[in-house]
Amino acid sequence: MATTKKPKPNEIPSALDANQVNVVLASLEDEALRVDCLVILDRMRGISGHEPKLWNVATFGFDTYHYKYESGREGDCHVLGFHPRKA
Amino acid sequence: MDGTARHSELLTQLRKHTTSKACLYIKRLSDIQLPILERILQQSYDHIKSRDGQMQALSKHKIGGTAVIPLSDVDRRRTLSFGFHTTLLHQGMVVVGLRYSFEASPRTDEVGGDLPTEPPRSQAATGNSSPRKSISVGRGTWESVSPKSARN
Repeated sequence: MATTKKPKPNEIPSALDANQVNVVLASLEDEALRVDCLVILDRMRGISGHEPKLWNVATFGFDTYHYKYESGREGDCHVLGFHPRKA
Repeated sequence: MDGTARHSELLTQLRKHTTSKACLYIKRLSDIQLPILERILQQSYDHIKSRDGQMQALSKHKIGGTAVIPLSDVDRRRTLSFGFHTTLLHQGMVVVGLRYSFEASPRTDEVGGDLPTEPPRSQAATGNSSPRKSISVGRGTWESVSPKSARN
């Protein structure tokens, strides 16, 4: 997910339970992509020590941080995250 | 993640990928070196969390104290060339006016050391002409800031 220019939701999303993670994963048609996602989920969970939350449509984000630009704009974003693109 | 530029060295070892300013694009995990990706993720996570900790500390404006903040190299250089308060202002320090009777404001006996410049002639003439090299102000509240503090 890029970037600084795109408006981001200011609210921190609620945690995904395991079932919701599976729902998003099940919507991926490509089996290899799903396996890759499981690996990335596992690694990001290990590094951040947090469970994934769903940002926007299908971005898995781990942990949050608060940012503030010199323009005064501020908000929250995930520290680590990834978005499985449809292959 | 933070900007990809910070990780350029590891990215050269990652194999097949593309980047934008803040994103790393990978087609298949089998195209890349997973251990390298893990190191990039770890670096990125640690970096953002340490900056986050710094921001949390700065958002609690302190009056009459000094916060010790882990500064980036650029900030450190700026501190050395322009003086510390400039950096604190840049980082969001708030300057407030206090009445002279404000109890917690520094007392003159807490200013120790010597003046950095030669004393005025009148003072030198009174016999107080010892060499003056530095000035130090006491009463700072030293607070170390843990990078992984605050949120969560």
